[in-house]
Parts: sequence; C-alpha cells; structure tokens
Amino acid sequence: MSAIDIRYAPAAFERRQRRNARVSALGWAACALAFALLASALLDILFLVFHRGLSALNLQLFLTPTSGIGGGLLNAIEGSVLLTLGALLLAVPIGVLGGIYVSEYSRDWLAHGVRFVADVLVGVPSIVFGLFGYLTMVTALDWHFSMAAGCITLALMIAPYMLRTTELALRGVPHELREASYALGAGQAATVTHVLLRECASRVLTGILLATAISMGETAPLIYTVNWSNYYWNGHLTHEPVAYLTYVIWSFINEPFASAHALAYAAALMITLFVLALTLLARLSLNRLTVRRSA
Amino acid sequence: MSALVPPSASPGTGTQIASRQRIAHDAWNDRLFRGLLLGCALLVLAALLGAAGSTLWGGRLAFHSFGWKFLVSDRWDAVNGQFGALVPIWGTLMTSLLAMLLAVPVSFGIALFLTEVAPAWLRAPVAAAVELLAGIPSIIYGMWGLFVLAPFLAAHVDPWLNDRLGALPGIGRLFRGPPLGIGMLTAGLVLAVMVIPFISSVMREVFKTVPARLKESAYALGSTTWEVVWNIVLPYTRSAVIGGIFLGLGRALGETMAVTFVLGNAHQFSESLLMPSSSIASVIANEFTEAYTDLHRSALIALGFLLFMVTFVVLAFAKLLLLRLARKEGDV
Amino acid sequence: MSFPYLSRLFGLALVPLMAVTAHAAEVTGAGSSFVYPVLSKWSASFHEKTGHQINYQSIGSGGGIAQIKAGTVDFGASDAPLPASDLAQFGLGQFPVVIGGIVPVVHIEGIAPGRLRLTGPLLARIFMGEIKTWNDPALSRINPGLKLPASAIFVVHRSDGSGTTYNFTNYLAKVSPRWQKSLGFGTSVPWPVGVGGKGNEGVSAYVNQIRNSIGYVEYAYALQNRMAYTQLENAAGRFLEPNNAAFAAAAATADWAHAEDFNLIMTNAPGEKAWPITATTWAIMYKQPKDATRARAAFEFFKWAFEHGQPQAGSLDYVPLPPSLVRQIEGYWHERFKS
Repeated sequence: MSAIDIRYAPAAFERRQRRNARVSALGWAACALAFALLASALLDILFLVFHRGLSALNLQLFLTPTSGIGGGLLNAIEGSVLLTLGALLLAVPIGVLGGIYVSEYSRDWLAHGVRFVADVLVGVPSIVFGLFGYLTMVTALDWHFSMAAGCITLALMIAPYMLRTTELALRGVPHELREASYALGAGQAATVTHVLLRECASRVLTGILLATAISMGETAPLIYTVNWSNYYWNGHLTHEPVAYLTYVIWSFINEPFASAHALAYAAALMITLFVLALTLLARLSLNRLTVRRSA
Repeated sequence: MSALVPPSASPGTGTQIASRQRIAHDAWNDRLFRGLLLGCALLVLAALLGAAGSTLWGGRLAFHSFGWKFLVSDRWDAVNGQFGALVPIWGTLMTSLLAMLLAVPVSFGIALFLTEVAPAWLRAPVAAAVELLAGIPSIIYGMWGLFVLAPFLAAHVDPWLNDRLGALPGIGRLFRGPPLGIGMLTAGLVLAVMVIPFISSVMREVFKTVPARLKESAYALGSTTWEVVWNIVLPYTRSAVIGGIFLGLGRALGETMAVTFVLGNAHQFSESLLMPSSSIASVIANEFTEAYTDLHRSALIALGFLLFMVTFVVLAFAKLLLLRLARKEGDV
Repeated sequence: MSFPYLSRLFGLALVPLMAVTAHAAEVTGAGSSFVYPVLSKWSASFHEKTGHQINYQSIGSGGGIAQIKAGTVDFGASDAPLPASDLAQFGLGQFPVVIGGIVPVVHIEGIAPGRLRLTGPLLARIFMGEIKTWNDPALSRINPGLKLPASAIFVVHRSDGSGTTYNFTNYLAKVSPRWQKSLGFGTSVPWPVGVGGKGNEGVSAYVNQIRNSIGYVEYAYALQNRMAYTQLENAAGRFLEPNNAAFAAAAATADWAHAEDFNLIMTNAPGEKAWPITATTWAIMYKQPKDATRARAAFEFFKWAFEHGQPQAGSLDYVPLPPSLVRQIEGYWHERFKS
C-alpha cells in the first residue's frame, strides 16, 4: 500500500496541497469576517455611547445632584463609588482568604466543593442576587432599600469572583517558593502571608480592579436592594435609598423628556469610561508583571 | 542569611525553648489562620444556599398554588392570578440558543485568528481591546440594541427574512412576522455580541496553551495552518473550549438588562423568532415593582428560583464535563 | 436591624468626601413611576425653600402600596386607589396628587395628531383584535373625511405592569361589557393581540417604528415624541382632542363629593368637555403617623405643591388639580389626619 502511495505521490500531493490551501484560505477568510463583524458591532456601541454621551456632558453633572429628571449626577456618582467601595470592603477579604483556602488546602474535599460552588456563583445571574438581597435584607431583616443591602448583595456577587482569581494567582506561584519557605521553618500562615501573597499581589490586585469594574457596571442586583435617591447619601447604612449611575440609564431612558435622556446618556458614558479605564489598568498591571517576570 | 541555619541545630537550652515556643505559636497561628480561611470559604457556600433557599421560600406560594403546572402552562395572567412560566422559559432557552449558535463559531474564528494567523504586533492590542469590551456593562448593550440594532433590523433585515425564509415550509415558521425589530432574534443577536468577547477571550487563553512542539511537528509534516488548528489545536483544547462555551451559555441565560430592552416582554407564545417574547430575567425586571398581589410577587420570585436552578444545572454540567474530559485526557 | 453607631462612624469617615445636607425632616415616599418626574421636581424646589428633604422612590404603585402598608415609608403613591377595607384595616387615608391623561396614539401615513376619531367600544374591539384593518367600515363611518389604509392594525400595549394600563383597561371595561367579561382590568392584562413595549417610552418607540400601529401612552409622551394622538368620544357623546383642559374637566366633573376617601377612578367621566381616559395618582398616608414631624413635613410638602407647584407640573405636561378638589382634599386632611 505504501508503495503505491509513493508512486503516485507527486500528483496526489500537489492536488491535496491545492485543496488544503483553498480550505485554509476559506477558513481564515471566515475568521476575519467574524472578527470584522464583532469589531463593527462593538465600535458602533462605543460610537453610540460617546456620540450621545459627549453631547450631554457638562460641568454641572459633576457638581450638583439630580433634581427631578434634570440637574446633575453627583449623587449617583457618589453612590456608585460608595456602593462599590463597600462591596469591595466586604468581598475582598472574604474572597482572598477563601481563595487561599481553596488553593493551599486543595486536597481537602471541602476545598473542591467550595471551588465548584464559587465557579457556579460567578455564573449565577445577577438578578437572582438582587432577589436574594430583596427577600433577605430589604424585607426579612427590614433594612429597606439601603446602602447596606446593596453593598452586601454586590459583595455576594464579587466574592466568588475574588476567590477564584486569588486561587488562580496563588497557583501561578512556583512550588519551589513554598518549599523554600517551609524549609526555613515558616508555618503555613507565615508562608502564605509573607511569601505567596507578596509574590502574587499584583495578580490579586488585577482581580480586585476587575471586580470593581463588575460592581460599578451592575444594575440588576441593585434595583431591588438600593433603589434610587435624589440626594447625597446621608450616612445611614440602612433605611435610606442611595443613588447610583446605572439606575439613571435603566430608568431615565423611559422618561419622555430630553433632559432625562441626556442624563441617561451622560451616565452611560461615565460608566463605560470608568469600566474601560479600570479594565485597562488591570491589564497594564498584569502586563508589567509579565514583563518583570521575563526580564 | 543566618536564617538558613536549621533551628534544631542551634545550641543552648534557652534558644531551644524559645524555638519550641515559636513552633507552638506558629502552629496555633496556622490553626487560627486555617479556621479563618475556612470560614471565608464557607461563606461562599452559604451565599449559594442563601440564594437558592430564599428564592425557593419566596416562591413557595406560587409553587404551592400551581405545582407542576407552573412549569408547563403558558398562561401568565396577573388579573386572574394565573401564572405559568412556559413562555419565559421558552424565551430564555431560545434566545440563549440563538446567541450560542451565532457566538460559538464567531468566537472560534476570532480566537483562532488572534492566536494563529494575525501578525504578532496585532495580537496583543486586539486581544486587549476585545477583553476591554467584554467588560462593558450589559445595560449599555441593551441601550445599543434598542436604539441602533432594533431599528436597523426592522428596516433592513426582518422584512428580508420574512419574505425569503418565511415562505419556506418547516423553518419558515421561525421567520414570519411583522418587522418590529424587537424580539427573540434581536435579543439573540445582542446576547451574541455580549458573549463573543467573553467566549473568545477564554478560547484565546486556551489556544495559547497548546505546546509549540505539537504544532511545529504538524507543520513539519506539511500541514497548512488550518489543518494544524483543526487537527492539533482543537482536539488538544477540546475540554476547555467546551467549558468556555458553557460559561458563555450561563451568562446568556441569566442576562437581564440587555435582554429586557429588546425582547418585548410579551406573554403570548410564538414560534417566530421575529416576534417578541419574554425571558425569565426580563419578566422579573419588568414586573417585580408593579406586582400588587402576593401571588404575582411569589410567581416572580419562583421564576428567579427557576433561573437559578437552570443556570446552576448548566454550569454544574459544564464543570462535570470538564472534569471528566480532563480525567480522560489525563489517562491517555 | 440597624447600626446607628456604626453608620454614624462610617458616615463620619466619609463626610469629607461629600456635602451632607439637611438637618430638617427627611420624608420618604415610594410608589407610582407616573408621578416621579413631578414629585422629584417639586421635592427639589421644596428642599431649597424649606430644607425638608422629600425622597421619592419610583418603585411602581404595587411597591408603593406594599411599602406604606409595611410602614416603611411616610407616604405611598399609587395609580390605583386602595379599597375602603384596606384603608380601614391599616388606618390609612388617601388623596389625589396630580392628574394626567392617557391617549391612544396611532402611526398611519398622512394622519396628523388629533385627526383620527375613535370611540371607546371601537378602541376595545381594536385591542381585542376584532377590528383588524384600518379601513374597517366601523372606523370609516365615524371618520368620513379621512382616507384610512387597507392594511392590518398593529396593536402595541405595555409589557410591564403599570398604572397606565390599569386606567386604560378600566376605561375599556367600563365602555365594553365584553372587555369586562373576557379581560377585566388591572396593571397588566392578558392581551389577546399585539406586542408589549416596556414603559411608556417603549410603547412610544414601537408605535413610532411600526407603521399602521396603535398604542396608548401618557399624554406627555405623545407630546414630547410628537405622536399622532386620536380624538375620543366621551361619555357625553362628544368627540374631543386630548389636552390639559379636557383632563382638568374630567377631574372637575368626576363625582369626588360622594367618593369616600377619594376612591374614584376618573375614566369615562360624565362632563361635556371631559377626556374619557383621565387618571390620577393617590398619595397614601397613615391617619395616625408614627413620626408626626415627618408626617407634618409631608403634608406641608403636598400643600406647597398644590399651591405653588402647578407651573412646574404644567411644564412637565401634568394637569393641576382643580381648585374645588384641592379645597376638598384640604378639608379631608383636617378631618381625618392627626397633625
């Protein structure tokens, strides 16, 4: 059989090569087309946000709170920032510590279970968290629409995310480092805090930045836990609703008035810029890390 | 570097005691630390149980009143207090399916393009850009869907689909309807645009892990780049690719904001992709605030529980599949 | 559960970040999204004048009723009145705050706003899917001068639960026994035909996008989006165009005097000049409030709004309450509410 193959090889080989080249070209053309389609859709989204957002932008937005369906957005900016900070305050310690557990005690069956659950939670729709927050904190605990309910709901969303990024970051740390640390007589706690975390701090930070971006851009978990307020936050953790930027998009786009639409577009622009900046920052810090490593 | 001297080798009883104390102290520290870590990890478990439990509890009235009919009835009538979730379930599944049908090949294409053929100077910046876009809040996608995509589809695509495909027997039923620009097709498209950056960046990461040795041997045997991709890269990364697809599916199933803007939230059952429908998440977002009766509210929370279960099953299935494939590949 | 100490600590730490305002009363309200624009506008002006902070959350009428019953807000706002039994059970009182009109809008080539004439029963038949084309004889008969196309009628309704739908379907149920029997009325009904838009804005967008469509929106949306609203025959048998005077006439001729706790839906009002689908939003408050200071501030707010807030309401296309109704409401306050 192989003898026959060899005898007819030149012509068959050429034919096969020509066909292969055609298939290859066709395949790559399809890939390029797919890419062009996505790129145009995404560029169009950015165009919409920038085009309408920039024309709605003015200094007033950053200096005054919303009044009715006009005015500024300072209350919403403040609220978005505070909600996110509060959520991070809760979620980062939980996520990072949980991540350490899953990574460093991973032979444990419990660690497997937690990792599995965290993976699932990262994918659970945010509106389910919103319902959870509404049912438990807003109504059962009687906190009403409030900062606390919003922060905890957001934290529930991003803690599993932090857990997984921390775990992956720790796994990236070479095993030799752990061995060296134990060889020096350090306990597990000391090894984790003094050696491993320091080594992968920048990756964990990247995870925090991305989690910030996620919680800044969320709407669904907040509608039923935080609601909306026309004023600045007054320092109460419970019983007082808080303003936030994505609500302006969700709700004001439904008002008939141009001033409301302008606010919605301005809010969309701010959120988009903020999220893009955070993601870019996260990416840059990761890049710097890899450059340092390879240098 | 005195620390390099092993502690046990240090002479003198005083230091020995001190070192023993330190070891005990360290051990106690370790236990404490482990407990703290365990507590945090358990909190995550509690979150899952809490989300499931609270929505099940909140939806008990609806489950109790309708039983299995809640899942199979297509009647959603707030006035007469009849609630069946068939239409939202159908809408959720159809839009996600449509999104995945569009997104998976495109994501493949993009990821392959970026890892295998794009010029090296282009890869990193474009990949970064795609990842940036994966982070855009979903509500922005919804806005775009409503103001740009829907009018465009209504004016240019829907009439064409209706005329050309609508007349076909069988699948024609999927494409009949007035050119609204709002409906399952639009929602599927918006979802696809949303999940493509996500799936393609997962796939790109995965494709990068293929050892250069394998690819180079294939090239050495005279394979084209396409053949290398098809015969080497894809089989090597199969499990992780499927995982990425399922993660994308999980996102599409539960997406709320983007879908609510463009799905039309209709409660009538319709086969056509051009007609409005509703998804579980969009029904909750649309009706929760205006639900007067306890039963209506409970039905919406029950929908939340369903959504939770559906995504849970999809994600768990993805994880188990990955585990099995990983084990199989490990054996080979 | 609350953390008075913790929250103050947290608050203090963050004070330099922001301008914390107001030591005056803080009043919270929740409910109807219909009144959100005007209530929040009023509260901003009222805040400037008095320092009292009225925080109104537009969570929908259903949410507003739930919140006031639970006693978590100082006032609720609803597009549908609470029945006397509920009011008595929870010790609540209610009164109208603002009036608005709901108008049918159409998108037919060559038909300008206010040209097409409709009657209530015809509207019901269109929304039930019984009249299927624009050139139906029943429509041509009352529109002798208009050239109506031979194309299918496309129905657009609300997809979300809403007070607009409540009042619109309430009107259809009043004028069409068949509608009453088969669909009833409520914040969302099982529409037999058409597509649902989210919010007034969604319905406006669909109607603007789809030719030969008909929908219903609040008057402000029809005006702001320059849509073709229709004329409607009212209970007195006259065809009217929707405008503020016609809405006010409906409010003035509605029989408030005999409506205990203002429990009266204004649709199909009897007056000669009354627009048939006129709606009001009620504020709901406790007759014996838990927190008298806050309740007093709330009453001050509504009083101020009735007396000084009307130009602002007008600029947002709401209709002020007729003076006779305001007098009646103030009488009701003195009679029923303690404070």
